[in-house]
Amino acid sequence: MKYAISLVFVTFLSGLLGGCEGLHRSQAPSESQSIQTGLEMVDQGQYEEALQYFQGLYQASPSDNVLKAWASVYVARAGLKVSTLYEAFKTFPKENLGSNPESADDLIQQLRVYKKSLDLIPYIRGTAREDLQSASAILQSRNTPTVRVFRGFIDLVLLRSTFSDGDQILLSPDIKVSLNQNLKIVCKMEWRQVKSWLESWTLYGLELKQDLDFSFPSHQKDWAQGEKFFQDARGFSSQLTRTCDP
Amino acid sequence: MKCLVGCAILLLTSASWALNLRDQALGDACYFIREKSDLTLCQPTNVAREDNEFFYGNLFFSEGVHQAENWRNVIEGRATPEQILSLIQDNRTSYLMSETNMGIVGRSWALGFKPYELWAKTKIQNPSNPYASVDAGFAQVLSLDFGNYLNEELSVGLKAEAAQLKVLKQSLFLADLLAEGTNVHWQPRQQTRFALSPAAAFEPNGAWGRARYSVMWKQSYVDSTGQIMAGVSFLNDFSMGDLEWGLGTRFQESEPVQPNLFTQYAMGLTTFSASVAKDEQTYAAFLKLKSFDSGLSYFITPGDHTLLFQMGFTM
Repeated sequence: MKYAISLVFVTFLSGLLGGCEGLHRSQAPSESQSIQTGLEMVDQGQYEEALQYFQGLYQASPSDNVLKAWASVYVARAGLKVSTLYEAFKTFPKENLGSNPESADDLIQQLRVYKKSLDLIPYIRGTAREDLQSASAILQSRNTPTVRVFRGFIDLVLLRSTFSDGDQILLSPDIKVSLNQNLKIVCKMEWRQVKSWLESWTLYGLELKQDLDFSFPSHQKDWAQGEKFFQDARGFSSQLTRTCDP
Repeated sequence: MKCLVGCAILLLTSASWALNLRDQALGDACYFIREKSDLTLCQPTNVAREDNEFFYGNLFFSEGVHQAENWRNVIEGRATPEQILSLIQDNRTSYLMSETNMGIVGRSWALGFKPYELWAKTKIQNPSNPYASVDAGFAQVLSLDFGNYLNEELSVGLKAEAAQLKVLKQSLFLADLLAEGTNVHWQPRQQTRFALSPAAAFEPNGAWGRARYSVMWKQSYVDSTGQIMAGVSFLNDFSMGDLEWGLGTRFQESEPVQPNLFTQYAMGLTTFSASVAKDEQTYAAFLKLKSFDSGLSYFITPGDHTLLFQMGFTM
């Protein structure tokens, strides 16, 4: 009798082993499990595989979380950490901006205020910047607060990096004289380079403003002055074109 | 036959992950060891072995217990996004567990009450934009165990539990918490649940190593899902103490089957135990001084480890 019970027990164990091994894989994973699977690849540095995985997952089930996971792969490959950006974001000036930069003094002064905070944000270029541009582009398709707060961090790095591309222009003693006295002096410089620089960082500034509007809907008016600043600075770009290439 | 058994198991089980400190303290060994530490009461057939009546009380807690009150606020839905961020932004997988329990054990029965059980497990992935999976809860549990020998060799038992629960399961990118209005998702699920866990043990007379086969259908009161614990243990008496050892397995849907080797060595006032599976290891040491018990358990999973502390008494 006791051998029979022992045998039943052993048979029961082996049945469970065979049955469970064969069946436990059939259940469809939840969205959270699917995201965890893809992020395992990211944690192991398998970025290409993770990008393909999340692109396919997003096509099969487009959701905010899958989109953020997909964009996260680019951010990880660019070597950035959102936590670092959050600390920098908190120091970003939200005041002292918005007075109409009618004079070059105003503009230069305001740019320098921005520069001080932007210096706390990583400067990236090359393929890392391309990765962030890709992340920003795919996140643009959704306007929900959680997607846009993530995009806001990315656009902040792009703003900082494109702005710093023109450090030499900003620090040039000629630029202040040129802007104050005669914009035509800039036309003798590499004015297209100045124009391109102005257009790139002001674009990301305006994108950032849009991200903040979606992330913090009740604070939209707090960012309105910043938007005006970016638009005005962008206006110099058009003014340059009109002056140098009439 | 294998498929039939497998299908039956599939119908009965589904994915679950619920912490229980008594399980964690000894690992899966808690379900198979017959010479239990006075701190544990996992297998209801064990009460069939009791010759005395006694009252017990225990306190368990893990590392990070100082955050218990903050986690309680999260589970109760009272925490702000900033407080949630501060709890889970350290970019590591972590466990927090805390429990008090008390009860009376009689001959073939036990009545237990847990006025406070709190658990919080966080798993963090992708440091560049951290993705956190949080499983947290608070429970108050009443339990009743019955166990009896059907004959000299075969014993059966039943554990019945009723629990009042607040459970929070959430996966999110931590950056989400910075956006406006996202804390609305952090609302706990409140519920009352009942769980029944039957068990059987077979100890053939004269078997080598006093073999004992045991099987238990363990139902979780957290989500009513279940798993089967099955194993065999052997008991050897030495002049320097008692050595119990064996092999057990846990069967649960969506989880790979993990054979588990366990051993416990009781010598005088001290007891040492180890439970080793592929993805989970537990090492514990207990000390008993008259009516007072204390224990230390080290729990290791891939990418993480935690210390559990225990204090208790029996009288």
